[in-house]
Amino acid sequence: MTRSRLLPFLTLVALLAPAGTHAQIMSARRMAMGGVTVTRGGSGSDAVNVAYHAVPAAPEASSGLPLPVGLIPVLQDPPQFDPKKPDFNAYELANLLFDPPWNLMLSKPSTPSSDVIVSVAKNQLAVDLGEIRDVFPKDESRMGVVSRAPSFSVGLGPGFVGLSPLIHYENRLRLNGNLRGALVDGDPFLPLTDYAIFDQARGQAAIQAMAGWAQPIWSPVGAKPHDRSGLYVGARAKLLRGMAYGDADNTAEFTTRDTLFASDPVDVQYTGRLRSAGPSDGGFGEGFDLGAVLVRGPSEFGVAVNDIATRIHWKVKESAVTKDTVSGDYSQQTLREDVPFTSDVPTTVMVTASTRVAGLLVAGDVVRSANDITSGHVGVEKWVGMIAVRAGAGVDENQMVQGSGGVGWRFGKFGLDVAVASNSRNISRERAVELGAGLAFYH
Amino acid sequence: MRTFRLIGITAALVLLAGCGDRDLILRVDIKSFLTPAQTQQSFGPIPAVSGGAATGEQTLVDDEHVNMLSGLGNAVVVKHVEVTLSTIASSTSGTGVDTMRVYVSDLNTDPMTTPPVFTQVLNFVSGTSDTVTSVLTNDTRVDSLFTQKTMRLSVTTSLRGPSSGSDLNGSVQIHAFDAVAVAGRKID
Repeated sequence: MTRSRLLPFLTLVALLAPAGTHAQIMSARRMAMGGVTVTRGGSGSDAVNVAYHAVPAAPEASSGLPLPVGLIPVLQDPPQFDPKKPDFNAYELANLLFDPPWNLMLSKPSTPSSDVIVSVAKNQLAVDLGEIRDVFPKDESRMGVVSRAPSFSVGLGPGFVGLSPLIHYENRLRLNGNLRGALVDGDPFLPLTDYAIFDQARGQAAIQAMAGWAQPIWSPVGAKPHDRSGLYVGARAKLLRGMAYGDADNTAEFTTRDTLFASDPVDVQYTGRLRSAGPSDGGFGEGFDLGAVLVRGPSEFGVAVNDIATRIHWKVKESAVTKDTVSGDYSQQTLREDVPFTSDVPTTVMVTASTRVAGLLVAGDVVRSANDITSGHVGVEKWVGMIAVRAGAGVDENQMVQGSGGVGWRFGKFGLDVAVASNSRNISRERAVELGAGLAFYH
Repeated sequence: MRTFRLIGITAALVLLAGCGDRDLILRVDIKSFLTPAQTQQSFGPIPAVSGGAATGEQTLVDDEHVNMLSGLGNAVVVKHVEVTLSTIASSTSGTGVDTMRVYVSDLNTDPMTTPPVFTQVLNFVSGTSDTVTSVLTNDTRVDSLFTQKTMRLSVTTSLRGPSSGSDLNGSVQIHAFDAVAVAGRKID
């Protein structure tokens, strides 16, 4: 890739990457309840808190099948990928990446509508990005997700074994103060000043075989047979087999001269360090999950610490993007192959709580996930006959409060859930509204 | 021959700005890239002779190479270019006429072999200043130059002194030399 192609590409990536993401919620019930993790022994509860493996499911617990209602309009009117076509829209493509169209978008974030104005003199450069400046984060941009799908598991008494996938990705992007001032605040570029953008990305996928144990260690005296009250604890040891790994540490920077546009052009220095590994390069790893749940009548309180000391061993290829001093072109050079490398999976802490008051289910959670990102959600659910009415709110990674609502219909063991929720999963971090739907299967 | 770069703007910026009907507007202060010697010239005394003494074309800006919008590649189309040249002719004594010409060309062409894009006639009147402002728009040749990576620029003056009366003493000065280019995403 030549320098002239690499720099626009990097800039485009930088422009599109900064917005923080808030993991898309597939469950319509959970989406309607503000994104709160409604455990209560339902399907997938043990994926987030191993102690739930021993907690009997609450009467309202269900499992669900999300419906991809957002795919239909995208398939009917696919996005344009050719930049030379009039309907090409980089913002819409970026937003599709940030927010895959599983749910139906009811209100799309607006595309910036202002011109970009660049004013140039020999010793002056000012860039007015207009509404595009909202793409850049005020501070650093962080995103991070450790995704744990419900496991396929079999149990014998308090013990169980299972298998599940694990996916972890995170990104941290930062402009230095000078570049942020020039691009976000519209400050003029200054002579003899360093401008830089830093991006660190990491992603890995593994299959984890799990062996665990969960059981009640305390039950109230005189508890009735169907009383779920008790203190439950669980532990899970995991043997991981790495399937894919990649990380990149990128820096692009330039220093202006004593005259901004002197005879010698500003030389943008890009450096990139990369590590990658495929399925054949993946080794084994290990990790642990711990959890505890206290059930007291209609109330539940859970604490889960997942991926404690979780590491995966790899043999990675190390490479670097370097600049040819003669041609000025950038190319990726392999530095070393089969280099032993150990990656870690960030520890996630989740606190959940729920209770039922006068038939109203109230649930809340706080999650500290990858990249030290903390988010919180609260939600309520009220069944009136065969209809459930739900509402909720949450604070996402962009520190924006998002709201939601929805209804569920139950027909015997089957049900249909519909939810409407706001989010800021787009590159300009604007509030958007989406609709989700799913089938429910009651136990 | 000296080279200066106006700006290196990435295609990504235009790609983002160019979604829908939005544009990238580039405002360039061309004068700021010129040295004082390239923007003003003093002369005199030029004695009065019959028909006026002519200097012929004297180079003020000699074949500067201007790198334009580098990095835009084929993804960009320049929709509109407006160039403004404002010149001041001052005389402390005597009368005369100066003709300033601006030539621009692509990388492979000597600008002086092309027709001037500006021809300004400046009149010297003793004890006064004459300001002439010219605006160039809708010149397809200039527009096309802004889509290229490099442009060449030359500026000349041609002075004719007084045919009678006092000797001419004065100066010409480029007061403002600005360009505004509006670029958008190239669409098939």
